[in-house]
Amino acid sequence: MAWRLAVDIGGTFTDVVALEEGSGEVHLMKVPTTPGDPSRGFIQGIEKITELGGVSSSDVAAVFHGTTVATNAILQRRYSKIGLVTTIGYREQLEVARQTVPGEFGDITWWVKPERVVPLELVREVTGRINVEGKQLTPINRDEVRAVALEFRRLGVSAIAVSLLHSYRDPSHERQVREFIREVYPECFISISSDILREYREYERTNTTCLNTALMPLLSNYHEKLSAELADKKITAPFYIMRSSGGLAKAEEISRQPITAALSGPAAGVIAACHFGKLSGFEDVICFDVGGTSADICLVEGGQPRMLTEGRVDIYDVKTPMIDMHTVGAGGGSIAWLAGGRSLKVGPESAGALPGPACYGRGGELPTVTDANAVLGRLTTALAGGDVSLDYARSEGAIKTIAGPLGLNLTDAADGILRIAIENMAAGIRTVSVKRGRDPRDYALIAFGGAGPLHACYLADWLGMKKVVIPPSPGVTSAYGLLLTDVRIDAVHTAVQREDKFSAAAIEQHFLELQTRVKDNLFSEGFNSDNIELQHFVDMRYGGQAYEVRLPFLNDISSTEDKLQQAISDFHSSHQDLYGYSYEGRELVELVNVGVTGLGLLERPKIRKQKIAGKSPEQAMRGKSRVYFPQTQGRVECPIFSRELLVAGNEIIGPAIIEQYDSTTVLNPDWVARLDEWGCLVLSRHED
Amino acid sequence: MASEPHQPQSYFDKEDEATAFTDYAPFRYGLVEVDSSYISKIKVTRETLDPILVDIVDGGIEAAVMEAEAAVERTARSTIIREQHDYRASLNTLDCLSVSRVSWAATADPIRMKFPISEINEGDVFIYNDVYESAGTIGHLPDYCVVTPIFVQDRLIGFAQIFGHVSDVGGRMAGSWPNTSESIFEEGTMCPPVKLYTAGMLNDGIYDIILRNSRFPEDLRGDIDAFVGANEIIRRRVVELCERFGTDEVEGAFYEIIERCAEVVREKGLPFFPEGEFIGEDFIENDGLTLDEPVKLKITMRKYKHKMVLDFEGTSPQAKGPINWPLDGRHYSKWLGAFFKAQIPGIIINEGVTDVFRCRIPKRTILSSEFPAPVVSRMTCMLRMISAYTVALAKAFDGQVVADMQCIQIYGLYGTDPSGKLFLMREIFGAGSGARPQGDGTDAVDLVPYSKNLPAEFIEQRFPVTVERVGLAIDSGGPGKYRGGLGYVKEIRTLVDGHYTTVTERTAFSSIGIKGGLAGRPGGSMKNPDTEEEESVFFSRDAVPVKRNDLIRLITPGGGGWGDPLERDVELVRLDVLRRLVSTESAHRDYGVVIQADTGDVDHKATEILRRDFAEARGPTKLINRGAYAQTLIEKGHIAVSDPHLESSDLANDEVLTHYWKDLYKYSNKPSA
Repeated sequence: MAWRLAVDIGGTFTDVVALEEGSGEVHLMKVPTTPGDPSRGFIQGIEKITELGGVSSSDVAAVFHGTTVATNAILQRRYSKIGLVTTIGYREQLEVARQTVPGEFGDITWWVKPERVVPLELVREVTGRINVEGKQLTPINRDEVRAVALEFRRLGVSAIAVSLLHSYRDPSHERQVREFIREVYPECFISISSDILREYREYERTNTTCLNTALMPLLSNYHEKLSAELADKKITAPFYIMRSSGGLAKAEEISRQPITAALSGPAAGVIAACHFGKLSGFEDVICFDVGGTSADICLVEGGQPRMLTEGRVDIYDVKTPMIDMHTVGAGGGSIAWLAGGRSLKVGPESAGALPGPACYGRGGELPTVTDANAVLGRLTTALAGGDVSLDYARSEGAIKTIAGPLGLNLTDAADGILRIAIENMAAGIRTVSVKRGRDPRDYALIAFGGAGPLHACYLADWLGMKKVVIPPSPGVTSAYGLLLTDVRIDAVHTAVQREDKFSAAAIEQHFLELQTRVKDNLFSEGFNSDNIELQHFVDMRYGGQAYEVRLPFLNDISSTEDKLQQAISDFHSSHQDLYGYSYEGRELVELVNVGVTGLGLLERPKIRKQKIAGKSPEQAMRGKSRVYFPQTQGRVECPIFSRELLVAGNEIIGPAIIEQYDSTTVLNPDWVARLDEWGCLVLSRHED
Repeated sequence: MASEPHQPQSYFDKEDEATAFTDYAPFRYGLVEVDSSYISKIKVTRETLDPILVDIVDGGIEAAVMEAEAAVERTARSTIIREQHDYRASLNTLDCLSVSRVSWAATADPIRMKFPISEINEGDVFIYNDVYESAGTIGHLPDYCVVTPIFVQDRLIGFAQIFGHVSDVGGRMAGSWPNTSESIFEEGTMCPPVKLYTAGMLNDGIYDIILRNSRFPEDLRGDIDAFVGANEIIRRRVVELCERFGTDEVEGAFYEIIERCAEVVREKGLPFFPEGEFIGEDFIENDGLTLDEPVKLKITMRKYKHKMVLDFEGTSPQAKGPINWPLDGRHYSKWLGAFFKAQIPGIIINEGVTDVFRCRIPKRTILSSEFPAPVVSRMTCMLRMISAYTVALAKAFDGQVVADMQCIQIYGLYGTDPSGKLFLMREIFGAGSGARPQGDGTDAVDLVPYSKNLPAEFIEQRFPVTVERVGLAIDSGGPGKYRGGLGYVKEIRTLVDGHYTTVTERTAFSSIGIKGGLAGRPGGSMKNPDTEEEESVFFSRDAVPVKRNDLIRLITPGGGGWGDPLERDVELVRLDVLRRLVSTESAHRDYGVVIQADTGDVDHKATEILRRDFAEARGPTKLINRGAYAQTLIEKGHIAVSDPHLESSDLANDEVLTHYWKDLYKYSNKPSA
């Protein structure tokens, strides 16, 4: 027996999945999240699932964790007291940032700059300058650095970020600074920018490094605590954390680079969605993960999500590899309101879990998307297997506050709220598809998260999508995803050069260095040449552009020159594909970064297949409800099914409601749902 | 000299707009014929329109415009567009009204005026930058504008339009920005509205001419291609909306969205304003040619029950230099009207705002200049218009407004790089924003949303310079109960001989402090600071010579302060001193706070005494504080303001003029590059 345990900590519940590698036996468990100390929920989950599955500690092969500790610390600004060491002249770089005000014209009058990760009084400048070519102009002064370190120690600074100009060209100065700090303050956490993000653009590199440093003490303590608790339970298996990139890393590695795990949970959801999509026969899918406050949307082609090299974590621009997810402020708790007393808007403000939608009866009074669903009969009496009972009267009261001023009846107002929420979600899907020249109708929609299945069919109708897949347990999909990926290390190096001045030798040298670094890293995590996979890539642009396009750089035996030519030609065609034009044959291309992604391959667990039974879902029917659908122009009676009682092969003809412990699926008229052998509900349009 | 504008008529005379402004410049330069059967058809459609559908179309249009703008950012070449966001996309109706959000958005009027509907076909793409042929929609030549008609089932229903500030369109100076031009012909090549594409086919000849007239044709081509591609995104989205909801319905929704804006501003925005007449004025430092002669921009705000009129009577006549801004009242209304957004969250400000909020411009002023008056620095009018409006609002709201700021200035360095090629390194700089009635202004921010500075590591890759400092200007924020934001400092060492150019304001004048708040410190630049060769440079200049290894320090102005600095929280002053944003001397002199030199702690007792003494010596605070330069000019009669009793005058001092006016014309020759 070899069990993999996965723990995903969400806002309300901590989801735990145990999976036996050989047989594919699976157990699920939800325990309440313990926000004050998330490690308690973690351990409770581990205890309960091992008990439930009869898993002995020696049978645990690995533990996987999707963590929100880093995200929450950023959201709540719970940073450790840290210092920043930077180049002379750049003390105020975090204050200036990119001098950018977000939003619209005029917002400068009221916008407040986000609190800096390091306050100005804890920034120190040191002598030493490397120029743009990587040449040393002035050396680092050891005594000066030691004095700064001692001062920081005296001030109670527990972690130090080091970010020097042009360190992406030559990290030696940053390394020296780290060494000199360690000489006098060895117990201090130190993070240097060339380790975190070896790319040009000093503000982004510095800020990402500062955030990383600020999280180091917290994450390090958290991981030590979890490791100790696991050791207490005699679980000595490797302990992995999910990164924003959808790859795993050992907890010790994340302690050094916590910022790479800032979007740990949502990334796991995408991995799981890719997996279930593939099982059900769909490699080109759009993942649609809807919770209380937002919908996370991701486009997947050939079973692989697109990767980004930078993104936003709350208010901060962060440059670390992450899955290209688009988030829209449209979830079950999104609040409906009237802009200027006249125009109906939904979100981005959310009632969240507390006070929650009006129908939860926990003090929420504002109308939410969930209330609109309740008024339209799309939700039945209770959620979460009876943990939350719904008070329809409260929903109606809340919706009336919108219906009145708009001169609409209750149903039309609720339908209006739902339509606008769906429109917001659809805009998010268009952003990841149409905007990149992809037609959403060519993709299957994989809907999960508590509120995904509720809106999936409506959204698919809206966008003309033909297939929808609802994974077996939509609410714990993210936890499941933790079990389905590999260890991943990304390394990038900025080496700007123009097409006519390419030095194949220099590029080869960079790749070699990166490759060695990545491999050594994976070797140290226990992988060997047989289970390591390397992917090389380059970032290119036309001279003068601000953004690069990432292209694969084939890792084969052809010469570097040939590979460069291939990458250039790929660049022109990608540019055409992404932006509608290219300058092939007219303009030179600039290479900006070279990079290597290393995967330490973990064996995929076996998944159990169900036997196909008859079509009739009769055994699962448990009542009827009157539900409003826009296309029926009124309420129609539809059957309610319990998903737990459905068996593979069962087919349900819409309209229908399919309830389960952690979600509700609404099947529109003209749609058919079939439970497949992998436990996924596959929804298709009737006529197709 | 143009004749002095006529005497203001009485408050009540102006109520009848139709007759009161007949001798003014036309409110709308665009003369687009409107077919009355079309209007009545729209009216019928609107009567039965589903209000939720209107919301959905509204959201769809905003998403399309944002999508198009994002595409421009990712593919354009000119740094002013892609990093500094000086561009705008919009959607117009058939009769060229803005449906999407406005501020500085242009409209398709010049296309409709020049081409009859029968000559506008599917697949056509129009282009222009010709200011005086633009029907008051484009302000200067570097703004190239691309317009794509939107057809649904062979019927024209509107226009997608994008314009942006490209690197160079020819003319006398690299970067096409001569501060000393006396005619628009010095400022670059004019492209009147023409078809860049005819029914989907590129007119190579036109494109060749446009590109040939730029010093940086590759940048220009990248920008224009990006605009064409992004317009196509808007066009496609609108067509999709029509396919889903019906063309008549979507077209009806356009007008409903415009009408809604008018209604909401009338009902939710205007009631905030007290009724009556309030005057605000501000001064442009000079017209680029006569450097000691400020140029006035004056607003008389008249608030009626259902309408607000800004009358620009008293604004200086058309200038000889390039500070003119030749739009029409309609576009000025949309520029300032965008500020209503702050009071009405979530609302889209579009053409509808002009129904209830109107700017009226007398003929032949700096805001209604005539061909071929120079215009390239029209930005100065844009910014001073906001400042004058701020002063008027301060009077209307007894100071409960955000203080003044100057959050755009441009510095450029040009010369020949070591490989022998012409280079132009140009960057738009933010500055300190004005303090608010409830909090400090923001340090070093740009007025244009999403505008970004250039990273030092990018600049050093591209240009023969090193960036030695990126930081904030200590003591530059106007002191107040709430402090103005600090200006930006950048120090650049040039590695080649060359020249630098500045397009700046508030280098002598200050950002205005409000309600007892002091003025912000002006910006400017210095050559080789803290050396024997140190030299300060004020005002906008075309060509300040620099030698290899010279250090250029660029400083931008601080925002105006708000409220009495003697009431500022002592702890905030201590923190500012600790962070080196405010000096110990300024803490003492401006805030009356005594900081102990050795510990950095506040001497509370000494502070209390000092603040009391200062308050007694000073007397009551004033509503408006324009800083030393303006106060001196007012005292000496060089300039005049309408309510001098509301203005602080304690800084007037002859030495100020000596400081700014010595060597006034040292760098004012008319160069070319």
